[in-house]
Amino acid sequence: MASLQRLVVTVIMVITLATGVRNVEGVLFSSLTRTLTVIAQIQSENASAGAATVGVDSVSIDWSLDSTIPSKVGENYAYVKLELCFAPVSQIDRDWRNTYDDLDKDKTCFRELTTQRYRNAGDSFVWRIPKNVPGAYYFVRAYALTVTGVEVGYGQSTDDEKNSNLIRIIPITGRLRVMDFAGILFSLLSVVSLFLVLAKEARAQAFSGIRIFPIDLTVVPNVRGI
Amino acid sequence: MAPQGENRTDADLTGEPGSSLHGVTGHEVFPYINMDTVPEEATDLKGRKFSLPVDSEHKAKKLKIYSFARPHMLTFHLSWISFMTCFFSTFAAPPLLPIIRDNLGLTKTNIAHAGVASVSGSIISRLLMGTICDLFGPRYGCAILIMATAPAVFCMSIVSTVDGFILVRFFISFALATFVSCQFWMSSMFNGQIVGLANGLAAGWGNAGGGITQLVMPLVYDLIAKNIGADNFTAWRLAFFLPGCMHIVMGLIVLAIGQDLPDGNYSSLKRSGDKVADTFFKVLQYGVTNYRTWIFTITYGYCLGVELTVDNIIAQYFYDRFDINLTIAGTIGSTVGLMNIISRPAGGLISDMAARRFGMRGRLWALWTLQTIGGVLCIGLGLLGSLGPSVVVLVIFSIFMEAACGATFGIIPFISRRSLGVISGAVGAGGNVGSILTQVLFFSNPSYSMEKGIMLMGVMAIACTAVLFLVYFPQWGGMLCPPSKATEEDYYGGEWNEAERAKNLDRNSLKFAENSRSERGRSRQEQTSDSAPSTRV
Repeated sequence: MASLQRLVVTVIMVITLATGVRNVEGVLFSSLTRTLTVIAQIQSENASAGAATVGVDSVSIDWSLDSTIPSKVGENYAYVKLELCFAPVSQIDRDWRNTYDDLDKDKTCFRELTTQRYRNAGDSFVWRIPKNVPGAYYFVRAYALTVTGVEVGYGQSTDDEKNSNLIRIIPITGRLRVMDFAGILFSLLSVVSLFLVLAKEARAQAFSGIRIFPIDLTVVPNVRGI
Repeated sequence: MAPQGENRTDADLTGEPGSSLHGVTGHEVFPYINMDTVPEEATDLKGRKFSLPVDSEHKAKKLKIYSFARPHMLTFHLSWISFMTCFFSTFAAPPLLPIIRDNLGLTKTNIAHAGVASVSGSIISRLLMGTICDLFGPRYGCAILIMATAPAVFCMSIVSTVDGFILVRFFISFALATFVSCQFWMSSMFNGQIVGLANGLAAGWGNAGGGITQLVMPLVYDLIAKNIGADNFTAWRLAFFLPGCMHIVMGLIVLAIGQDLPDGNYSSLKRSGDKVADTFFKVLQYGVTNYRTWIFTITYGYCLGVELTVDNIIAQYFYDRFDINLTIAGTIGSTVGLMNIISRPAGGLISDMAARRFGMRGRLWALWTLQTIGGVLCIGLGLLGSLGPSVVVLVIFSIFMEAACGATFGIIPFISRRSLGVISGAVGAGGNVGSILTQVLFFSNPSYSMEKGIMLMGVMAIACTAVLFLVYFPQWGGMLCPPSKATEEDYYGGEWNEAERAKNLDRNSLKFAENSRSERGRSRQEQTSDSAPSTRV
């Protein structure tokens, strides 16, 4: 009995501890200063479309330290991380893309493009858009990281309201002609084979006549054995 | 040969109908359904002996789960596997939603509408399936439904718009009516003494399809996306060929080797005299006007309804809230459905055990307790913020909720004898309505986060379960009130009017009333076994 009590207490303690453990809070976005300038442009053969197609087009990103910021600030920076982020118009009614101040919880920037070494003069990157990017409106954000990888500054290719200079990406549908064809074929297979079996059984019954099987389920006991 | 009932003494009657009913014997001469084990000459259509002991209707009296012998055990396996296939395909989309929502550009509202659609189609089809089984037999009902919904599953690979997605999920959900054909088939093959267990196992194992799909679909998607190297937006579409092919295969197997009754198929048998020719409207009237039907529709709506809702939302909830990958979220989500394998039959057993001691009042209290604890755990699930405890609470919550589903169907057969089909269909459909209501109220509102929705769902479950206190059977009592002097014959016989009673149409109901005396509970049993057995002829 005593050992059972101890077991119960231990279990309760473990559950309480596990519930109590919280992640250390990450860096808050509101604590970062906008120190980088980021320019993102679509590189497309179909330049007039104003949108990038996955698998075909690329996005070229140029980033540098903002000219109004003294270069002394840049001494703290070791790396720059480029990320693709959803614009507010693509976040509406989609909780899984919500913006949170805590960068560990934030879902705005869903795809990391690259991490480059920091240089005061800046750098550029050309990102060939892969096929698994969803269709939406995006902007590019650059986080300035210290040597330990902690965010201390940022820049983005749009304004603070995230409404201008947005990049529209056109996705694949994921459908294949072969798959469409196979789907229709299998559906027909299902329906046709059903009809064939039913028709066969109807014909078999018609040819053999109606068989009457003497099952009388309110059987009077003394007729057992028939 | 003298009629069997007349010359036997009470000693001979042990092992007869009612021996499990604490010595109460159904001492009737004619007409009655013989519950004896037929001696060794019982043979099937082809003249072979049945491999299980059977009664005079050739329904099995025992369940041998590891056997596939025709016709009884083969039917058991065919029917639960085909029901499981339908649950598999209906809930195949939710574990893949994180990919699908990006492919089709779905919003939270769209996903909620699709979730509602995925449980609405089966309301209509479950209500119709009872009639179809009556007319054409459960074999045709099951096979036709499964093969007719296969094209809808294949259409899921072709959708590219939001409306298309919602429509396809609606049409696939028609397949859930195989619940009705499954239960109907079990009732045709298994004797009344074990039909409860057979039905509970088949329904529980079928419902587990909702859990199996959450495990299997992400694995199949991973296989296609990583090993075969297809684009992720193509891989999920290819993954849907699995449930589609399962539909076709199961439909063909059911047609090839299934049979409606132990002695053959409806089309080659002439059924005579067993069923009282009843009119649809009378049956409907007595089902609809019995207030207990509606109480159990509401409570089942918050027991199966909660389970269906959780099947729809849980993988997404874990994926989004706790940042785990798709396969792990699917695995966690699958535990809900998989618990059905044990918890649904266990719920039926708990109900039966409570009934043995306390009768129908015990059944009602057991159901209320199981469902309320489930509701409390649901609230807890919504409030917890970390992964480990959430998983533990999820598992325990699903055990209690599914046991409550099993316990509900321990009570349903006693609400009415005449309108059992209508009531079962209405309660089953009520489960889906509860799921729709929950998803509309709590999961399509943009201002409710998913955890708040789960918590509110638990609150509503507890509130709706409380209506069980209103159930009162005059012959057995209710949760708070003791029984009156009414008897089971008054209750079940009351469904027939004078003209019908004069024509002896109520004979099956009265026989059932006699057998249902076990619902009085142990203390009242001892009083009744001393009284003279019924001598109704």
